[in-house]
Amino acid sequence: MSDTVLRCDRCDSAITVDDLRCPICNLTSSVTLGEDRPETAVEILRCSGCGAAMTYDVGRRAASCAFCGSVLELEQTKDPPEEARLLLPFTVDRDRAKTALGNWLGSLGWFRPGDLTSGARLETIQPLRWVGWVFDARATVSWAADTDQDSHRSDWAPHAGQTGLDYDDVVVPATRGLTREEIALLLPSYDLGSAAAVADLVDLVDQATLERFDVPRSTARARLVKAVELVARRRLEERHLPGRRSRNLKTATVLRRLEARRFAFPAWVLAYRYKDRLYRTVLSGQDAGCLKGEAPYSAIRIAAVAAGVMAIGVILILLGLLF
Amino acid sequence: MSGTPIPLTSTPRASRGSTSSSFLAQATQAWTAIPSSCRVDYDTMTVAPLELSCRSCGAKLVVEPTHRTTRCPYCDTPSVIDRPATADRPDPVFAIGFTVDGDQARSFLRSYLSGRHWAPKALRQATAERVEGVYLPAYLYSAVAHSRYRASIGENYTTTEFDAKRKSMRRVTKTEFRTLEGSHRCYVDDLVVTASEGIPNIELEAIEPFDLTGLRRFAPAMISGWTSEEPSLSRDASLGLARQESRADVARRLRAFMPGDSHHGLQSSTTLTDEAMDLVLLPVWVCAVRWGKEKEPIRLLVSGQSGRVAGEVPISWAKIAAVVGAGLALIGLAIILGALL
Repeated sequence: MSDTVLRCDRCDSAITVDDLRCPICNLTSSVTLGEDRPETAVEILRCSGCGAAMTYDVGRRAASCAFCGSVLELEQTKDPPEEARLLLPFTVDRDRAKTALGNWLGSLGWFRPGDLTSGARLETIQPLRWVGWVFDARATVSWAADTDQDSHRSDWAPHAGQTGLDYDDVVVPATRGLTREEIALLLPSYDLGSAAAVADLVDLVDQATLERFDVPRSTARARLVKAVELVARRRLEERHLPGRRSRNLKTATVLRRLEARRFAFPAWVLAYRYKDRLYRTVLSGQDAGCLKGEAPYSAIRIAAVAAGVMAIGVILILLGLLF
Repeated sequence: MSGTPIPLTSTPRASRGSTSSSFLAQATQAWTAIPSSCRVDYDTMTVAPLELSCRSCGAKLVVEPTHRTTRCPYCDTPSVIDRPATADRPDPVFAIGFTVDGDQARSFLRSYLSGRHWAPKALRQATAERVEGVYLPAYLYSAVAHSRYRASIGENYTTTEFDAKRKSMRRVTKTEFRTLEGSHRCYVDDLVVTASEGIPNIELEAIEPFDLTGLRRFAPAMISGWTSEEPSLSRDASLGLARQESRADVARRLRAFMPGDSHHGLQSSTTLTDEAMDLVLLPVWVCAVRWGKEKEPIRLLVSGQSGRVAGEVPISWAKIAAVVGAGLALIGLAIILGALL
């Protein structure tokens, strides 16, 4: 797998030497275009085994020799699985992670069981690096929509526009281990500037599980383009559409200079047991205050409050009936 | 592999007056009726047939300028010809290899024909007389499309009005039309247009789409032993087709781009910039089907990648007349019965 970065001649996006065409605008890569031959040539494909001429064989999807059966494999389009290239270091170590869990359990409030902090037993504490793409791009987005601005008899009036959108350090998670809510909470806690290449990483924690991108490059790009579209729609709705409400938002995007880097983000996955049940929590590897997880509610305390509220209600009704 | 290409000196002959024609025209002339507009006349082209010698046995190879491949008539060794690129005959950049073999192509063809219910019975049961795998030259086109558009956008609203007949109020949906003008920009990509005079674009479209993830960098190993045609349509002619297809594609996208509950009077003008066009060789089975002694054989195409079949199949007027006759008879019978009862 080669990561040598070239630039697409049309849209200036980053491409690799393995790409036959630009994944964004489908322009043929300059590497793919061969050189011109000055003179006419006749070529016979010969079998290296027996010297007979080889022909393309449909069953084998390659040139093969009819006599000895040897096959000349064609160059295959490379679509390697992605791997993280930039790692963010842990700044929260194991002990601080444990303390963070204890503090969090203690801060959950009165509806939780009273002995939660003392009764919770830490089962596992795992350092994990979850993966995602971080991309930069420029886009020209053409849009059309109905909004309530300038509407007459109908609630809606058509509007259209074209705007340039810049994407800087937009994170697209590729992880399967964490939920969307967990990621949404963790993301603001990371300092992308602290990222380092795998070889240069100086870290508090070693042996963190490095999650794999389980998609090949082509799928990754399709996901990025989808993410660009989603971010564009959100930004248009927030900033660019006139009026307060909108519907039928249509967009057309011309993407340029897309460059995606593959990051691994540090996190602690902590599981604790409380009364025979396991609860999972996730803590940012770079901010001990950034924790998301499950915790039990105290059924007795909730029931007590509910009963109290009902009792007050009944009393009020009775009072109302009496007076 | 010892198949490194060695340049040979060719002796170009003046082609004026020669009657060479493209493979498809040549192969189908004897047994297929092609519309006269598709007939290829290379007298006007400045490409000369090549005289090369077989790298295997030394015999003279006569290679038609319309072919990229040939077989030695004496030793049957397949050769791939590599000519210097010209504007109208660029080097192939990509190729899609055959994944459907001849037997599969024949069976796709059989089931296609037997499904043509209006075709003459003889044709529905016919088998292909000749099935030949051809790498068809086509262009892969992409560009950035900039459009200005203007349309009347309908926004619905409901109102209550008095119903004079029923003497009551009722709710009605009405539409107000507002003019919308704007700009639209998008990439147009993966457009495939023919580069062969023998296969018009409409026939190629009928066996599309080709799965472009199967696209490979062109290598002689992909076409060795197969017939491979050189582009016979001028680059400008193919470019014209591609631009036409792009504009149709953009117009389709603009229709879907319009907001509102409805729209009418959509007008647009599109400029194409950053155009790129590369030659790709597509795997196509060209089939000739003979279905009667006096009948002209018909030509059908089978995609060598997806097995999709296309081609114009004549319909049986006798069948149509029989069905129409039966229908009329039934109606007549019904009228008579109606009159009697």
